[in-house]
Amino acid sequence: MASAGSGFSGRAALLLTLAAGLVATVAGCSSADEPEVRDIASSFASSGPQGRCDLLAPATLTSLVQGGESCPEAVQHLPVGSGEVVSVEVWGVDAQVHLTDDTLFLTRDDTGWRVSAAACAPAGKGSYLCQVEAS
Amino acid sequence: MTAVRSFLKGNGLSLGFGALFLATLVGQALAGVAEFNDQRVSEGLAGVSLARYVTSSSFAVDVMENWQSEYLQFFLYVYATVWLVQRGSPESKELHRVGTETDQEQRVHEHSGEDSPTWARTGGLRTAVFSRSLGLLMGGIFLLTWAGMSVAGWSAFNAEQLAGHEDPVSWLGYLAHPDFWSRTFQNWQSEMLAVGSMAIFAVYLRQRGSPESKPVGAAHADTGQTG
Repeated sequence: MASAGSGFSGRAALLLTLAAGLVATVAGCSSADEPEVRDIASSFASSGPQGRCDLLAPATLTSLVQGGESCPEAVQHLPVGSGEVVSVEVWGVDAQVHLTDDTLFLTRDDTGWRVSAAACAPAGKGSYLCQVEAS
Repeated sequence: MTAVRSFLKGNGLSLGFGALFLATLVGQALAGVAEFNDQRVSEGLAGVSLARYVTSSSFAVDVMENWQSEYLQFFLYVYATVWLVQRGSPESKELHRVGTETDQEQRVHEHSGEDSPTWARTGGLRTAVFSRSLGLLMGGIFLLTWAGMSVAGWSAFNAEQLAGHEDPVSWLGYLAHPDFWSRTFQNWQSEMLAVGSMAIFAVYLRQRGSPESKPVGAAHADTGQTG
């Protein structure tokens, strides 16, 4: 502790550069994905049952057909929104999209962004109860 | 001895810890992505690649929360040891030297030698800044990395909020959230414990050849000796 090395300034500069890079990465990645998230959410909202099923995340799709119905049959009986996109929030590999008549949650996998939850109603204290989601 | 070997020997402490830092950072990334993906799979979400994980806020906040506390530790230690002493500890100066000491003891202004740094000789603002440069740098890096932790933590927290189907929060909202302070205090407490215990353990225990220890034969009451 008493013996900080003479090369400290160089190491400090390296650490600061790494720190700035990490923060810039955090800030940059979220905004870069926003157009794609908006497009997927908009397509989901304007599609028919089969089109919506094609945009669901695999785990959400699996959960939806557990009752024995096909995905399109299950989706058309649920209050999934079809309104315009109002706002988009992207944080890491997760996103939230407010439609005029629903709230969607999306997640990113190797194939791109997919809808992980829909037909979500506010349940107080900022949380949502979703009728379409992975179990 | 070749120039390379001479350089390696003369900078072994910096290079050794630099290599250990990189190796452990890689270890943290590999273990972190495995834990992160376990959590996501249990939530019915897809896992992420190592490349995406190391550029994620989850990795960034885990790195930043440790960096900020380390620099806080050094910043406090540099400043605290000006005024606080520990009888018998090699981490402390002698008890009668509490404070910033005289210009003669610190070899500044007219008491500087030919080998003294220029800013120690010139006086005025430059000497005043140079006299505090170590603490200022440590404190500055601490503030930057703590701010970095708050941004990365905010982003990671909001990602978790969305994965759990909850609204994201503002940066100020995150600063008031227990997650930010839990990450902060859990790191701070360990640094304070490490510094405090090192100061007192070094009174009674020795490590032969280490400048962090007193000479093996030094009395327990000897303060400020290293060997």
